[in-house]
Amino acid sequence: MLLFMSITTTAILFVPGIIVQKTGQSAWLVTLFSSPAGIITLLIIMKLGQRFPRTSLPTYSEIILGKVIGKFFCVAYALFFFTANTLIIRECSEFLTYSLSSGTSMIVLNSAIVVVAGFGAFKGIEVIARANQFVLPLFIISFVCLFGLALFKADYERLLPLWETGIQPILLNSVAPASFFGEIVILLMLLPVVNKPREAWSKGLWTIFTATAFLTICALMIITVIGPNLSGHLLFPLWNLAKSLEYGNYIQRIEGFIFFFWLTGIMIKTTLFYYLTCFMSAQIFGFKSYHPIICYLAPLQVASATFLVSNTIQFQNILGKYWPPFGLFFEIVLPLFLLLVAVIRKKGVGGSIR
Amino acid sequence: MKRKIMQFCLLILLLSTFFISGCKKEVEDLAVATMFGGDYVNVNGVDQFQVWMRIMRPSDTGKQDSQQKDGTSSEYLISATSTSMMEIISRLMIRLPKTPFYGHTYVHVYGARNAQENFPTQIGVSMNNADARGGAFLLVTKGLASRIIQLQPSGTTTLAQQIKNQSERIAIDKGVACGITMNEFSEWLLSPDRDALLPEIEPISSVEGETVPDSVIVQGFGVFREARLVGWLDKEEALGYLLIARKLKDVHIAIPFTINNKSLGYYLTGSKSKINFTITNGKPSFKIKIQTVGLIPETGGLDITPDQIKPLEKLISDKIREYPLKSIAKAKEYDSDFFGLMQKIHRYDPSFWQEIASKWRDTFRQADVEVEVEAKIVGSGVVSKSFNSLSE
Amino acid sequence: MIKKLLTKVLSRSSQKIFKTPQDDTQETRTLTSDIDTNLQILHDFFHLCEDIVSKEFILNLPTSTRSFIIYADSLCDPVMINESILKPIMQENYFQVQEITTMNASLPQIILKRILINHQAKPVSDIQQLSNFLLNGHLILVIDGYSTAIAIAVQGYEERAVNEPSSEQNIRGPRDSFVESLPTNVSLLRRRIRSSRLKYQSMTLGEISQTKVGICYIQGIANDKIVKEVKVRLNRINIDSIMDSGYIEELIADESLTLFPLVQNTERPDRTAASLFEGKIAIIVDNTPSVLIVPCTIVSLFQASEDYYNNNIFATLIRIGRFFAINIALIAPAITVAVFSNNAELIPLNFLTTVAGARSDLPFPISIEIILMELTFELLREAGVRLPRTVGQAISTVGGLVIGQAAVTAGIVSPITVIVVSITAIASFVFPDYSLGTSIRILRFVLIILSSFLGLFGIVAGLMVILFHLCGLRSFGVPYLWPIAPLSVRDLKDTFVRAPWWAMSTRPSLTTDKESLRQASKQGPTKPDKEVNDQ
Repeated sequence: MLLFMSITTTAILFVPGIIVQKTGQSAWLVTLFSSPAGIITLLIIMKLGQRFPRTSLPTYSEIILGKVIGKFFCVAYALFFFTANTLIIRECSEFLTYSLSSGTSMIVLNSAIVVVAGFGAFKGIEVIARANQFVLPLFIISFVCLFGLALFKADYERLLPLWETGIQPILLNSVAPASFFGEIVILLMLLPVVNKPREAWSKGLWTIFTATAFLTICALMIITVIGPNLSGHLLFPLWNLAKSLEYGNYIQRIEGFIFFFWLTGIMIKTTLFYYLTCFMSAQIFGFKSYHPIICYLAPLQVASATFLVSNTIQFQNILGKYWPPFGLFFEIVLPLFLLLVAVIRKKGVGGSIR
Repeated sequence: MKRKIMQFCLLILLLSTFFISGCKKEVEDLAVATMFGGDYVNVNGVDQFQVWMRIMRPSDTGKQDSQQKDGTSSEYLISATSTSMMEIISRLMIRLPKTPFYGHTYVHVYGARNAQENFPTQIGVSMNNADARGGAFLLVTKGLASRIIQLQPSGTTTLAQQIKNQSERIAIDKGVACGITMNEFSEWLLSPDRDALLPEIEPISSVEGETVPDSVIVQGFGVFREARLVGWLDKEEALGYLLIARKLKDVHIAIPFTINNKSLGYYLTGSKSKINFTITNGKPSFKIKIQTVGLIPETGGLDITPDQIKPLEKLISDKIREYPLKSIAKAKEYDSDFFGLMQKIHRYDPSFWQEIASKWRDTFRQADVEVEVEAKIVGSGVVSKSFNSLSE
Repeated sequence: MIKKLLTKVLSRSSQKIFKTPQDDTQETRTLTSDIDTNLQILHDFFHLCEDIVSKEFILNLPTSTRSFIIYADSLCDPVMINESILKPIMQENYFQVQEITTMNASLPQIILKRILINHQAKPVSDIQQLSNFLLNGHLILVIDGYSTAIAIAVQGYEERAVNEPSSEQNIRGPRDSFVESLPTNVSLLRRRIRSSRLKYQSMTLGEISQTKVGICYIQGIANDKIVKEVKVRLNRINIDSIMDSGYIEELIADESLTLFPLVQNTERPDRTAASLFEGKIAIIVDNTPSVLIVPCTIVSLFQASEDYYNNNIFATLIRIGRFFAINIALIAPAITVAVFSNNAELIPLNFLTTVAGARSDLPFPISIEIILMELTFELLREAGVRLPRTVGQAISTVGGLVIGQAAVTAGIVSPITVIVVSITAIASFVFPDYSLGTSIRILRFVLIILSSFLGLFGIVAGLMVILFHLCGLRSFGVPYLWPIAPLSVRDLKDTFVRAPWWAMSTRPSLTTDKESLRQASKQGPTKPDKEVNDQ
């Protein structure tokens, strides 16, 4: 469930804007095509987990690759999580600046997010998971309401023609959301602590399917209600959608309601990533507990979220063009590499020499 | 030591109160703009944008009611002129005693010249505002928007509210126009396969016959071609557009017709339309089928019997058929496809669209459009036998 | 980390080893055979305790044995002393008692077993034990020539009658409440659970106060691990006095720096008994009517015992209403501040103009107004508790209305503030549990401040922090937010809704591991096959 939450929340915000720009009304197919990326990632991670039950990534990467390269590997992963987190925080504050809190400066917003995320990370993964369980139904309910209301205003003809631009742009553009799906790679870190590792495979698949469904429905909604041409021009089409749904005089301004739950979802995702970064760094450097790292990382994170990306346009560019390959590299290529090396060197359970 | 800590905390609390009251936009500090008017005028030989806004004056609950009914308006106007939109906004804001707030700007009125020449800039700026609502109504007027925005309606609602009501319900109820929201309009503007249109708003006097206008009427449409205003549709052509392009429900459109020098009225309560097309020799031909439902309350003295219904329906259908034909003719004259006919081709036959994509307007002009109307009479109102028998 | 700092600061003063002065001076002493020495010992022990009286008398024996009784006048019932102890002892004709002549048993034994008319009597010789008995309302009978004394229970002190609970009232259901006397409280429980599986174990806590504390649980239903944990924690307490169960609550709770109650307390025996049936453990403390119930989850703080007696649909709706009330009480003022100061887009237009007009002449921004009014209401509430009952009602009603109205008219606050604050105050009284109400009151202020800085986002951030905190809380090993998070669908039927009794056939699964079925299944209402009047 955590995975579902983490992927859908931010994906919903940015992805539709990017894809619809390129592919117009076939955008909803794009999301369908990006799900295989998630499935592949899941497969690789499960295999790795089967080979090394109950050990975490730093430990078994050392086993597979040897001490130095293994540590290097883990540092790379820690950096990956760190950057991912930075991007998420930035996404969140961009959204906030645009939508409701336009007066507040970026630094204040970022620090607030980091403080909350730090507090959650401090409490540990179990707390994060439980908070997620609490928030997830609310999140789903609010979106179902949104879908329901949007149905009345949907104009289905806007979905046609289906294959206008041909299949190639669709595939090309599915790379962007694929990187979001690949965030399942966080399962790499979480697998040792999952209670029932056997069920993780089916649950992971479930997550991917539901996340795909969610994103697809979102894309569908945006296209049918706002229209393929306009949504490509907007930065946050879903926000515009929520604002434009008004019925009579009483159902108005529902965006406040939706915003509320959306934001809680994003917070949980940030907390999770923050926790992973700290946890991983602690394991790499051999600290006993990851609590001090949270405090050291916090200002770093705020600073990077505020200053590393100088403006929204650059941010959109990064998300659209540079992050997907970078993300996919870490999500698919590296675990694959790890798995292959493990197979070749016959390490872990399932291999013969240990 | 404890006391020192207490004092420190108190200090922090006090400081925080300063912090709190400083930089936020409190409700009473807002200047709520309810209506926006954009013009393009010639001032001292230089073409400039002129922007007008109606700002809400907050009502005082403490004052007596009688004072408000006196005629002190609950809104006031501000305006500014400049060559660039951004400069206008800053000039406007200087004039305001409070922070402007656009979250309730439901009505945007654009002058004709503005719409003819500079629309994309205006729309872009409007939509970019964080508070802007996609559901705001856009309208065009033949003259200057400032004329509209300066009117003081004598009813109890504000001008913006009145226009909003008219766009949302009343215009389409009477079949003379319909409200187009900002989202819809932008979508049309950005579509490569259709043109946009906006309802037309004109000042009018509430008592018919008087010359001084004090109210507005939303009637007719302004037709756009690409991003420019090119023409107008009058009442009947507007009805034609509505019949073709919209599904009407729960409306009350009066369509008069005559039989034997007696004038009857067909009250249209709903209509549906279906657009089909066939491509022959690279030329599309459209077939539009309209089905309407209605009553005949004004029978001109005739008692309607069942066998008279069919010929009446035929008569009515013929009469109704005139409207869409008129608007299609106008569309071809303005060279703008605001019905979405070509969009239908794009959606259902994309390969053909690819061929004609570069010259779709010409194709539209040459296309045959056939309209078929099927009017149904559901009843004749509650009064089944007419009163006119008394006068005979 | 902050916690570590705080505990270090707070406990710096208590680094010394805790010892009561009496421990140093007293070695274990026993009574001697000589009555004068005994008298002297006891008089020295209770020097300057003038309510400990002693009376000497002579037994009706050939040797004219002296003996004395010593008892605490404030704790004993004189009638019982006279009738059931002094009378038989002093009037007994010992010659007739066979055991003296034939079996040569010791006199105290004979008195204990044959002569005393009293239900509770024990031999005792250790001075410390003797003083414990004496201070518990026993009478000590010391006989010359024997170093064993007899301690006889003669408690008879004034205690409050069992009447309606003062804070947890209800319309339907039993109305007795716990009182300050431990035996009476235990009896109230025993009457409801007449089974030998209701176990009661007692211990004494508090070095000087020697307060009696009892643990009750139903064997076989309560989780043995939790029972053991409770005992361990209670035994760990090393404090000089226990005035109320609140002391114990703080000393045994899992975490002390939290605003949320981790131990439930109640005044009602029916609620306690119902909790025992769900596998919880009750801790009864002498001299206080508040009984502690562990473990505690946030959901049990929402359940009123009346829910179970009333119609289940009504109870479900009331429960849902309570959930809404807690939301209102917590975030309504914060939302008002956020919406009116930061995010005005969320207000419909007509409302906006009215509010803006009403607020245009006011001196304070809305956040200050709300904080002021909230503080005023809190003051009123606290004052209302202290006022004598006759005056209290008038002042709180008058205070609320008048102050609010006067403030509006004077132009200090706007009417909307008064409305919001009043609704919040009313909503915060909906909880059955008072300690949760206090936590909500505090958190409300925090959220108001956050929302005035950051608007709606501030509220979300604050709520997330509270959520994280709640998710991490555990009460005796049971997660605080159970069964919502760790999700247990089977147990949800008692949280947001109150399923009809025939559906609640299992006990909450986390506190009990055995005996999960509490009633036979399919006990739903069934109609008879035929109408009564059909024949």
